[in-house]
Amino acid sequence: MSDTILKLDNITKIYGNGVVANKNVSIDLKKGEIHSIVGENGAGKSTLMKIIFGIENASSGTITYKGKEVHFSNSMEAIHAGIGMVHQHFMLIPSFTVVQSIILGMEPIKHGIFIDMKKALSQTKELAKKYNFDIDVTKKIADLSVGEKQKVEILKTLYRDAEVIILDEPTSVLTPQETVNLFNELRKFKDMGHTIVFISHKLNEVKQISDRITIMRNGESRGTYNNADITIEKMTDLIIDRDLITDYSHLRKDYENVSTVLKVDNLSIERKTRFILKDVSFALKRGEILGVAGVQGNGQAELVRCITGLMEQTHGKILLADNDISKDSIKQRRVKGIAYIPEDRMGDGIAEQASVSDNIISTYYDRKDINSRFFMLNKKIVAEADRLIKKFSIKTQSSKTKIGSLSGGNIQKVVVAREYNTAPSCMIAEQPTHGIDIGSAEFIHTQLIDMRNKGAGILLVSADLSEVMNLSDRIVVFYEGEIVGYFKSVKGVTENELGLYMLGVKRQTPEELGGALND
Amino acid sequence: MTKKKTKKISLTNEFVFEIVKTLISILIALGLTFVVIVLLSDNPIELFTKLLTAPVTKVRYFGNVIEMMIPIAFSGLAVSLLFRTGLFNLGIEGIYFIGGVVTAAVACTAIDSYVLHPILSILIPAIVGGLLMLIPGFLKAKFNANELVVSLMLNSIYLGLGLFIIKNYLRGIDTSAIASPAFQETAMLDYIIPNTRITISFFLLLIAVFLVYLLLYKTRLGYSIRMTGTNMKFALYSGMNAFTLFMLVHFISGFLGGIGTSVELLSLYGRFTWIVLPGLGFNGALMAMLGRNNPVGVLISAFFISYLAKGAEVMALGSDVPVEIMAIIQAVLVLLVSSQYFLRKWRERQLLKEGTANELS
Amino acid sequence: MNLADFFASVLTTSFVFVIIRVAVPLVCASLSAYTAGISGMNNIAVEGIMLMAALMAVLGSYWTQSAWLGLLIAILTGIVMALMIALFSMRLGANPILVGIALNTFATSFSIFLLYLFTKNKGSSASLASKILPTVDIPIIKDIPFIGDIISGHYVITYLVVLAMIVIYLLIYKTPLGLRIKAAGLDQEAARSVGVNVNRVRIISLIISGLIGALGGAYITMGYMSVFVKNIISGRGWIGIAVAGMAGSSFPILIITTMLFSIFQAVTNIFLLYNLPSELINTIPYVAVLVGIIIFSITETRKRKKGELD
Repeated sequence: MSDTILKLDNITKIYGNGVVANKNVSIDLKKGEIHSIVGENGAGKSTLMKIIFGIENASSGTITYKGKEVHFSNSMEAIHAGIGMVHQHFMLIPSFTVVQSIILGMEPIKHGIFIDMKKALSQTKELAKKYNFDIDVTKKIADLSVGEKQKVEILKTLYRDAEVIILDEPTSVLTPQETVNLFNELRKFKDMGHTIVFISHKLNEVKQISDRITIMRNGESRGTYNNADITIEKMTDLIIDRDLITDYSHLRKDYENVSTVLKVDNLSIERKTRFILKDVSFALKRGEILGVAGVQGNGQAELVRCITGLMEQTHGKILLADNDISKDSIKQRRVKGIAYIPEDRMGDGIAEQASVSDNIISTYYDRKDINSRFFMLNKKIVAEADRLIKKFSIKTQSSKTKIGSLSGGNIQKVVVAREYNTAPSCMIAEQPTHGIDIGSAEFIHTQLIDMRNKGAGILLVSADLSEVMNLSDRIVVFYEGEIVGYFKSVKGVTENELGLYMLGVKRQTPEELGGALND
Repeated sequence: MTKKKTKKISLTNEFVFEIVKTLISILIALGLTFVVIVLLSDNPIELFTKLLTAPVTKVRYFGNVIEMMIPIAFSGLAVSLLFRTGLFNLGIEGIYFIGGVVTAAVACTAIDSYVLHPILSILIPAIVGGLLMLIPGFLKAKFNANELVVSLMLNSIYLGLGLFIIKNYLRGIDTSAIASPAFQETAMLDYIIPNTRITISFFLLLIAVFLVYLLLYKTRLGYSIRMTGTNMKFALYSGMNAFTLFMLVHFISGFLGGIGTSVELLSLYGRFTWIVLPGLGFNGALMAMLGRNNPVGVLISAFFISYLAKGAEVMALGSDVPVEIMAIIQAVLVLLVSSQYFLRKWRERQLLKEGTANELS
Repeated sequence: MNLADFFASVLTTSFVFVIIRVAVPLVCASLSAYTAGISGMNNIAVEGIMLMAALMAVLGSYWTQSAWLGLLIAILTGIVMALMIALFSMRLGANPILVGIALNTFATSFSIFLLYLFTKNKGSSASLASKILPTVDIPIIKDIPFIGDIISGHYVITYLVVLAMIVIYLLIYKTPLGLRIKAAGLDQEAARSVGVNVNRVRIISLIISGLIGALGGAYITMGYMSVFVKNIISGRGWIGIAVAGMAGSSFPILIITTMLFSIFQAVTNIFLLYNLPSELINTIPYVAVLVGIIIFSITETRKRKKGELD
């Protein structure tokens, strides 16, 4: 560890709408170190990285790179200077090949105007070899696994000779084992002289990999520490004011009439070459939360789409309180008692341009109490909206405010309030707290437990293992479209063990898995 | 509860901002028109004054404004419903043509009633219009066929089909032009205001505006139209049935188009004489854009454009400036009004100012 | 109709020659819609661009008394119109489809406005002594039987369009700019993240789109015909948009579909000679496109249901 390569000095960022994202942040990155930046969602980590990478401009403060003050006005300039970024959501085009994805924006040229495909191939192959990446560069992105896609993203930065590589929440899509792999690679990069900026909110990972750690809260830096000098508990204190691990067990109450509300029976989705879902069977009971764990992209999303009616299965049945709903429309399923908190909040969950009250009734807008024979009763709708806004403590100017102007947490509360308000017997909660502030997340967790206590069956699909462990009564683990693990109780199960199932290393016997349906 | 705030007229209010933006767009459009007139004419002031004031100088002129407004307001309503649902369908143009042929067929049939004949002559084309719009509606709803392309192809097909029908089955023998026979006197709508050719269709339009307004903002169908238009995926997720919705919207749109064309022919024409697409449907699309797909906005836009069109017509008489100068006004207006970012920076500055002012107080 | 006569008139070199004549403006329209579309910036104003270019070709060649300068003016007009789409949709945030609709209606009236201004006639430019572009006899090839009759003797724009076809193909499939254009159209965020200037790429695509559309428009009034009459493009631009919509990002499908359509159109022209109801015959090309779109949409829907897409 020697000299500083990149130095941020008193960076402040105020957005046009007056939101202060960063306030007097100063960080120095040393050459050849792994530097973690931790903080909860909305702490200003992403904005800071966007400023370094030239996507946003700082309102004040200076950035010094290799001893010179720099002002990157777009990401191209940052890339040219030797800064690379692996975004949390992959910036890859499915129909492009690996080579095309890597060279895009910096293509080798022949005859002055044409892409030199030969050179591109040999360069990318060499690069993959140099960094020990085992990957077929002629494959299409669409055919790669999540881990491979991430490798392509890293190769993209290396192809551009990045000296500083920023990784934004790189482990959020990986299994624990894939994470270990990634960490080994990162250490190798470090030894080769690259500087790694690791952004995360997973403190144990940060502890494992970092040389130094900068902690952010509310847009401010709360100090940079040598890894050896700080404990996880101390980090937690600096990030938030209260305990990070929330224990909801005191809120749980047993529901009396235990009966199956949702039964998924041998559900399969077959595609030309492979199964997306294969013979999935489980039962969800009233008064329980069934957690669905698994790395994203292993069929959980498709399972949810099948249950809610957004997608059609090839084989198998879905039963709601013993009625076959497999052929029902989305509306019919909703009327019969299914509610759904979707993962894609902004895409499926709300209409950004519409008001809070319009959004908060969308799944039951034809309900009798807010309609007359021909017309919708505006006053009653507003009253209902106001009631929900209060009950879910949604921060909004009024029920007529455009929902798009609310914060992520409050938007999600609107979604949850709406789904709650149909009094469902079966709630599908898909990544219910993804990317929102801790306060809102806790509130939503409490609401889900409350619904459970009152007898709803809740299917909780989440990539956040701690969320699954904190909330669930029982857990199933998905791998490549199949249930490979079933846990009757959360007690005694470690995150690590779940990881082994999520990665397909371990797999239970059919008898053991049968419990998901029969317990 | 806090004290009731006095409503302040300020740019931060969306509605006020939109109006200010529209007024500025109008000023720019007229300014540009003035420049063009200066370039083309020796007496620009006089011509420009004519453009702006001619329609109110004679009752007949003002009557013409209303007459011009009615068909484009009807097509504007029809198109605005489609746009509102997120459907870029320009099929109303073809509906106007083929609906006109249907009107001719009914209006040329002998029906001995001054009440029944006009009603049938409006209602039948309306229903046919609605049914024909179900074709692109069905293709969109069922197969996600690009409604813009489908509707444009259908427009050309309806043109050929309509002309074929007129030539072979509905040809007026008393005229050398390609036209239908004269409509039965019983079918024609009566003028209700002296010195103008305004008919009952004006009231039909006002009723249509009111009903579309109710439909959009007060009914469940309107709610699902608005939600689908802002976010189709969201509507689907919420359980709204896109198929039924698309079919209904297309039908209502075609129905309005059918009324629009029939009242136009029954008020002003007396026989079917179109041999090319009349352009009224395309103009309706512009009215929908100008009026921001709001029924009242469409009505106002249609009036405003008709007013200028009449002004331009009077101005063009005996001058070097052709009436098509309207194209400039219309295009500039529509483009500026559709531009979300136009004047946005200005508004943001106002928002920021107000924000800081609120913080200080 | 006598079937033998029909086939006799179809299976001749002059018929193939006619197909090429008909195809040129359609290829331009398709390419114009295609180049803009794959960059993620739909150009619905192809019809309007062709119309304005057709008029400006006539006016320009009349003013300058040079066919070539007329062509240049037409092309500049097309590019300016295409840049209007860029200005309003990219800078000012209007929906590109709405901008296209507005530009088309504008072109319809404004072309008459200009026509009247310079000819005092609202129907045709016949009173103007405008120029047309020369035809080209290719030496040696023109003497080869059959092939010579088909390939040689076209207007110079025809050869320019063939050249443009090759250039656009190479551009899209073989150059860095092409890769960036496709990336901008498929996922602008991903393109931006590696420093591709998406706006610039789209503006370039629109300029090419305007240029090639204008070429088609100029062909109509400086080759196919020698005057401008109102609404002279008569839907060719829309057909180009329809074809480009069907072809998606595939250049070969684009060209094949356009050529098939041109054959349809040429056959229609022959039908018209046979005293059949011309109004209905005229709708055949549109029915053909409609059927094409329906088949295309149904297969796409099936594929999506089977999960072969996305």
